[in-house]
Amino acid sequence: MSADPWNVYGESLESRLFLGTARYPSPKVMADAVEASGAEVLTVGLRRQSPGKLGGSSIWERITNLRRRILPNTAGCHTAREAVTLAEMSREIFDTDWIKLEVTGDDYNLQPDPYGLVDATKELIGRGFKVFPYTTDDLVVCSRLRDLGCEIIMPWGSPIGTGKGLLNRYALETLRNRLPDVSLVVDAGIGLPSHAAQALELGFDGVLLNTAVARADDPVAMAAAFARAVEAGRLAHRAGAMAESETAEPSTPVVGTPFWHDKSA
Amino acid sequence: MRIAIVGAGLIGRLLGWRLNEAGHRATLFERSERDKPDSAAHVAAAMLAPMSELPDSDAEVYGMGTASLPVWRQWLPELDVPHGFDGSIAVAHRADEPLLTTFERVLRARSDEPPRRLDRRALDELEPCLAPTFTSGLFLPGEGWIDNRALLEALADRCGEIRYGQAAPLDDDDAFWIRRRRSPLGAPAEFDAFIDCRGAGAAEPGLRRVRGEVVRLRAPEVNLGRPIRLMHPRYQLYVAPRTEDEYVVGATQIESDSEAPVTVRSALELLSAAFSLHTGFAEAEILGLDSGLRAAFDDNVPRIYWRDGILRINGLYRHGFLVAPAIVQAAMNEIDLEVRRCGSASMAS
Repeated sequence: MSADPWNVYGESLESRLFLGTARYPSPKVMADAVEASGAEVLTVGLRRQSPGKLGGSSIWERITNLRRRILPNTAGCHTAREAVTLAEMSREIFDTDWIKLEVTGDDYNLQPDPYGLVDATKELIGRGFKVFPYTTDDLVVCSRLRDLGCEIIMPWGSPIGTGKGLLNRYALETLRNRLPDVSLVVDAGIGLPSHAAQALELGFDGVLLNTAVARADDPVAMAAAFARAVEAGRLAHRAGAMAESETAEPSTPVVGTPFWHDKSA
Repeated sequence: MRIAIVGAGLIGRLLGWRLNEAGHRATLFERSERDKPDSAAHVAAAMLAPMSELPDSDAEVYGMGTASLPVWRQWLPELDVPHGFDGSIAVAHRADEPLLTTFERVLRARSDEPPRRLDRRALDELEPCLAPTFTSGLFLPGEGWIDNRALLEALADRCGEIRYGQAAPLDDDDAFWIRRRRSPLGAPAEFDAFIDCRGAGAAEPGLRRVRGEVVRLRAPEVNLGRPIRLMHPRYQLYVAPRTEDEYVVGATQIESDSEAPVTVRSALELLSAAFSLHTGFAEAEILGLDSGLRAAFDDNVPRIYWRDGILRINGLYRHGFLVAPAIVQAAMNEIDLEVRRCGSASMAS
């Protein structure tokens, strides 16, 4: 099949895998995993690194040197105001108007706070940011985010770090059907390459993951596995899947089967 | 040989001690004042846990760590420093059980000695004060802890002269060394060899700094004899025992150069982890909240190498105490080679 680039806020991308840069055994393993994943977009969290004092400079430089697009995130922010402040710092540090917006509503699940998310999205778009909101799979919240001007929306598959995959397939399918003009990326909850493939098969434009690669026994091999799964899922979506059926349909014609072998007779 | 060591942290002091024992004369240069120590070793929880660290460390670090354990067992009684080698225990709260399973799987695959599953009774026998909260755990035999501050003090008397408040300014590195190696007008040099043990204070190419924060507590209601590691979805949390009811709870791991004091968020995380391990920590006294910077290279593996005629030891990351004896041994070998290589020349001067 032909090359299959997609578009994010006017940027053309080949890879449909966004990769996080946290929790790897070392920066070297992270760099090798990025290479193996083929990811063109990397997320970076700044919240705890004293960004106001440029505390994380050495690791930011390491990540910048990988020459991928940087998508800074606001992980660790609990209010719209905090997220907006951190977004402004991220824009300075990484010289990008892209921001993965996270506003946490529940600390243990790291479940997004839809109210803070919508408020922060509105404010940030007003300030000229290109917002990538991390949200639950709620249709109304996602519609609101689209109405505010988000060209991409990133619902969770399941809570961050759980690796449980796509817990609510129905909700994700609904989003795909109801928001056909928005890029949709499953962010969070992906544990296995098969989960990533499922998301792409559903017609999602991409997946974002971190823990599944960073905490694998061999992160570099797992990154390669995800690259292939994402490619397989996308190909499958474009190829058009057969319809599911409740009864078996033999793939070999039965006309020539001897009658004593035909159980229905 | 007369050896100048820059940086009187863990490696500087240990190396000074071993060099003196081997008949050399070490002099240490330390940036901080005597009563205001700022080395990573001063803050560290100082666990000797090669197995527990496996999921986050290279095979090389594991090898150095296991090789270092018997050396510590020999050195610590000699230095009269409080320590323990009764193994360590890993536990998880019910919601985090899968993390303990993963931890066990990695250890079984990669360590020489498999961890032992503890049921409630076995856990109760080893650490009775964990049993009310936890019904199972993992036992990692042979792992231990050191009283880091007692060790640094014990070494201060044995590592040679420490010149406090004297450092090589980072931006004037070469001038510092040249001044001491080639004194003006051909006067005899003060030292025959130079070792850089500055850790996070060094400006080595490729070196980065990783911030860590710990809480030191005195908890008479808690009675733990071993380091305890608590599985958590996002952090590595552990409690390391000291003498006299003291405990060190650590550690955050933040990719940051910031030397600012411990943040409220980190303090909350560490303290709630301790409290969730044993409610007796509720009435503990907070003796200190400390932050420090660990130096690390890109692969988080320590390095020993010569650059500009100076032996550089750095990048011990979060494994300083774990690998220190192996590192010191390797450095001693380098110095021995150096003595043999240019021994006659430097003796003549």
